[in-house]
Amino acid sequence: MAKPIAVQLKGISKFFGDVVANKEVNLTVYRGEILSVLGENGCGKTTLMNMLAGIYYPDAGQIYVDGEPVVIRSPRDAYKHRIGMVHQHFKLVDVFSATDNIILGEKGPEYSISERWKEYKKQAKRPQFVIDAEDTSAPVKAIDGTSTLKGRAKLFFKLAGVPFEKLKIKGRFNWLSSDRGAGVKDIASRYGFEIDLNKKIYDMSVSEKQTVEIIKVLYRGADILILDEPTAVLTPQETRNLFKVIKKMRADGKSIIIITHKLNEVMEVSDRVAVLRRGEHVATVNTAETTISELTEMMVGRKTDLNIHRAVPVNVQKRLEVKNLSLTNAEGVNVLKDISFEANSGEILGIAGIAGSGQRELLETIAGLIRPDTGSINYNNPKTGKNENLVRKTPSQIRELGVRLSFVPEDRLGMGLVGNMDIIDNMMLRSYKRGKMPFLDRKNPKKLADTIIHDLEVVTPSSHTPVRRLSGGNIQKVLVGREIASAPTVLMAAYPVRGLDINSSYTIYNLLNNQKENGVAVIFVGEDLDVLLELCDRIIVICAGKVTGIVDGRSITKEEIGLLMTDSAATPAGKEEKHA
Amino acid sequence: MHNGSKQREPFFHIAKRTNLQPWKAFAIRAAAVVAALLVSSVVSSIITDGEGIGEFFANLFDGVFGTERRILNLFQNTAILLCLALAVTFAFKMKFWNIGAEGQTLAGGLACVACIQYMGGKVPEGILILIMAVCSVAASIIWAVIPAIFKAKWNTNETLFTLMMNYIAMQLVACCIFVWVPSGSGVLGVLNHGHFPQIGGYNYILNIIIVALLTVLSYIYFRYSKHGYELSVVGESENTAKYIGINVKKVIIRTMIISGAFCGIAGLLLVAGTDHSLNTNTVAGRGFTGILVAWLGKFNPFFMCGTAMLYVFIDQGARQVATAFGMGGSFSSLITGIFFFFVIGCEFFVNYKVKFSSSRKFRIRQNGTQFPQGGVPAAQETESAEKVKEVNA
Amino acid sequence: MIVSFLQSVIRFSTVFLYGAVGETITEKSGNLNLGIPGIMCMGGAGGVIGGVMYINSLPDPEVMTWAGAILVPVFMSMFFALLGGLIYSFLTVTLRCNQNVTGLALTTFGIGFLAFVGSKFGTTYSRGMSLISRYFRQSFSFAADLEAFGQLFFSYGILVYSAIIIAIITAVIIKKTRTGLNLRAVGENPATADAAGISVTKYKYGATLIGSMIAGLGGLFYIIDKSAGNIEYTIDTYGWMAVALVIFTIWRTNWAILGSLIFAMLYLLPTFVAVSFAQMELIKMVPYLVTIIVLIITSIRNGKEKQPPASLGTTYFREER
Repeated sequence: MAKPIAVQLKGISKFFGDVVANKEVNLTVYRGEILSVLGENGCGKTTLMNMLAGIYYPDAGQIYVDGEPVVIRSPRDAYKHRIGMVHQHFKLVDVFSATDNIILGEKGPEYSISERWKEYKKQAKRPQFVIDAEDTSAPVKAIDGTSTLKGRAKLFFKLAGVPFEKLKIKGRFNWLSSDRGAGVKDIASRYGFEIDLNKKIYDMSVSEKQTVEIIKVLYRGADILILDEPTAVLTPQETRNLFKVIKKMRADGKSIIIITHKLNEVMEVSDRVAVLRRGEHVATVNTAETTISELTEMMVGRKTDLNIHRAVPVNVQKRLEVKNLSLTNAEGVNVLKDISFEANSGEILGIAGIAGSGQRELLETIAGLIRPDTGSINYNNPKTGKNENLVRKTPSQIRELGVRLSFVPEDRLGMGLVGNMDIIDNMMLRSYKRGKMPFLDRKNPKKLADTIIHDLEVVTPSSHTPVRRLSGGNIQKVLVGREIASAPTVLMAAYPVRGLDINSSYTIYNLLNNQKENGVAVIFVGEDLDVLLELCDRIIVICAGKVTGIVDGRSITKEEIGLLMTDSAATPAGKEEKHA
Repeated sequence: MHNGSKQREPFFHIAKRTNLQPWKAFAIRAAAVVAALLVSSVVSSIITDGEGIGEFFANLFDGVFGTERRILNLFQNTAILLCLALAVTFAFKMKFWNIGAEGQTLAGGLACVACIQYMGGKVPEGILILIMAVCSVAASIIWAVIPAIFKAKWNTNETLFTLMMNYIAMQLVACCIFVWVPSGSGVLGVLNHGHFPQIGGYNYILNIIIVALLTVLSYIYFRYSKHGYELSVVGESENTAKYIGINVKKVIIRTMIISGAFCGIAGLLLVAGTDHSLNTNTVAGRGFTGILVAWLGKFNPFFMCGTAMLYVFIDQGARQVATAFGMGGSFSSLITGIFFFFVIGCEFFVNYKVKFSSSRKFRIRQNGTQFPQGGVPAAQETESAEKVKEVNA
Repeated sequence: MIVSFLQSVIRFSTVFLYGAVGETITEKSGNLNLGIPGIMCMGGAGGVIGGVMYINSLPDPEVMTWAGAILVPVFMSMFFALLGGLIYSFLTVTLRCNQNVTGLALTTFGIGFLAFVGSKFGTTYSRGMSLISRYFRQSFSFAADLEAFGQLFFSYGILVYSAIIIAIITAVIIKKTRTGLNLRAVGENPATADAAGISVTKYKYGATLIGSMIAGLGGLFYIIDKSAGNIEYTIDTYGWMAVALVIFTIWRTNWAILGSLIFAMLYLLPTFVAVSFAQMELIKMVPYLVTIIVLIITSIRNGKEKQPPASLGTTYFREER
């Protein structure tokens, strides 16, 4: 390898309680390369990088930067070693402008009083040559500059002025002038970022926020950039732009580490790939010398069949009919615009779109959590054949109508489950109201909990364990299991595999497919277009709260969906309304 | 070249505990209480210029268990404090920071006194007490439910709202006393009507029975009732509550009605059971202390019995110490303050563990070179760094 | 009549101002310090202790110097307030305990501490304290020559002017300097600030301690200037009003100057208009009612930048998963 080494990790281990997040990981990053850190969700890739960025502190092992052992105790230490990280959940202050976010925590010019004193003393002590004016033949005398009273006084005032000078410099740096952040603009134009630096973060789209994060890391002088799942929230087009920028940075001699679990991106952009599995480093290979299937095998540990079995829908009936749905949220932004579609029994309907295009609001409106401004949601009851309008009904009213609607929300612990309650109490969430007695029945929920733990292979000490303590995959199994247990006719799932490892993801896909084959109308909101294309029978694409296309999942391509996702000139949800 | 600070490993490292055996958690808390008492005894020894530490503990226990009356007082004070702690527990379980138990109780007490003022002697005692109970509970509910309505509707900051309601209740009491006491002294004497009956020749027994009953009832409510379940779901996550169709506003208001009712009962106990009078300081900060007691008892009514009694024990004991050492009554607030700091602080050791890292171990393993303890000489360090470079090249 | 009313309003507002500025600085770092009333009590008690120390150090208690009479109480007041802030920040920042509970405990402690100090020194040193108070109340000598204007603006002691100066300086620092920017970031999103290399612990400690010292001066002012050296035990009430004032002024210390004037006016209104005792007690309700109305109005009207610091009331632990 001709390239010099930038960072090296040796024998890094990290434990969270009894959980091993990383075990004896060795990793080398060279200058001017793009390294992908590949692994399933929960394999410890983010944890590993967080130790490089100073968020976590390793329990064992040593980090070397430029060949020298270093201790990174905090993000500040990381910046000192020119390491910067763009986290998956952006670390930005919402009420600040982009510039203020970027200059946040910047160190001022170094000014050491004692060193400046030493310097002045040295200057003053410099021998001065005195020529005797009367006796020109006398040898030129060299005397110490501080030996005369005048010299000493001069030195004294110079020394006394130093603290004030420091104060002046620090003060000038500390002052937030209105033209602050000139350097930020330079960086933005050098790498070709197009962004309004005076915009407040809360007005920005996800991709703009990511740009701010990257500029911030560059501005802080990082040579080693870590990007955690940078493409998760971007459209294919935005992803391409990002990769362009990344390659520009590589040409600049910077090292870029991309944490990802998307194989095709790995192949597209990186020079080398490091694969992690269950917290351990499996191998590092050159991208040019490997294949997707080889990487998958390293990632999962064995060859897996990545195909999702998609049955042809049978006995398709109109179950849910959404017509002209519009919604304005609390901030006055029009998040849903005239949405119409149908969901049929026995098929999986996918919803594709950039994160935050109104998917969450749409599902919550159907579930009765939000009241829309206009529009109707009609439910055809398969038992009675009656047609019920669900608009302006609360979740409990919907249930009382006999509508069996299940909803797996995006925010599992914040909405679908209560983290501090045990599995049994979480099972009760849906059923506790049953019966006339004012007291709770814990027997049936206990039975249900045990069934779910057994059938879905939930790993838990007991059914009395708070769900917060379970791993992401198990939490999701508990939630999906509960929602399916109520024998729904409509099942809505928002990002049900987010953060799950491959095995758990496939368990969830299979559950959804089973429900479809049982004649349930399944609505699936996903972010991974590959999965949407393999799983769904039909796909609705929404962009900024508008339906831009309803397409057949079997015949459409990823690029076509990508174009639909950015329909109205790539404006994210709600942006244009704000300016209007 | 590195300077020293760059190379230093963090001295210690904090990690969250995943699971701590209950007895260990209990031992940590017990140790905190003991430590608090020891520190208190030292403090009292310092500010009294050398009263003995043994003397402190002797007086502490004497103040609580010295006479039959003192023991009865311990239970009586525990009962009132526990009643208020239970009241705030309802609110706090749904993360409603009700620091207005003081005012809610005062409003209830004021309603009681009003009943006595206008009906005392005109109706039989038993009926009077019933009317007092109803009025007291009603008044407290009004005081509790006003902030709840605004919280439910506009998410108005309940902490300050309930706090302001305290002062309004106090001013109302002050005003009414001026109206009722014609002399203008502003002090209401002992009232002759509306006293709780004695049971078994003792005062306060009825108070204790009522509060014991309330404790059991609230435990059942929290643990086994549907309302209690809804209440904890709202407290844990408002989004989850909405998701499963709980009417959050209704739960907030309903729960604050119960919380207010408990305060009303506390007001009744204070006026009819113990004080037989009223002033602006009748509740004496117990609305605030109740919060601390409830929090320390993890909002479990039975644990709260223990924490309430512990607090009253220290408070009452410290008062005796103050009398014995010739200090003012405020001395006990100092001691209880120290007690609170320790027991609040000890929760850290229940929730987190502190790992002290020895930096030596890592280095030996990684570089194979043993460094002398206490810092790495610069020359040696560069050498090893270079070695690493060679290995990698 | 009106001049003397306004004069006492301005004097009284200083108590709220110190408390509100102190609490604002603390809350900007994300610490909701409900112990501010207790800290003000401790500041007041510290001032009394300082006064007593100074009196005891004098050969003749009647002869005092300006520097000693002012500096010793101020120093001790800030010292004890600092202790209170230290207890709070140690428990909430280092030990990550619940902020509300810690604050309430600190308030309980502070009230007790003031009562204890008062009962110990209140009567024996009342003469000396009123002498010290005279130095604190000393105003510009030319105030009397300027009649109403002079009385309104130049007739107060040193603590009144310093309160206003502190409020303005604080507002400038928070808004216009990097220190303030970092502080706001810590309060808004500590994880972000941490990732940007700002020491969250240092800022939280710093803001809480400085805020406590400023609030402590409020307690000192109330006892030594407003009450002319008599130890009063109602400081905690004003502390709570200061906490309310922080919300009222939406976390801006320059607005707190105006806000504290309004609060003080409401407080003093009853003494100027009341007829009977009962009515007076009723009118005393007004400031609390107004606070409630303000709370309701601020909660109804919403705006992104008029919200409390986003992380207010929560403790920060970097390795939280």
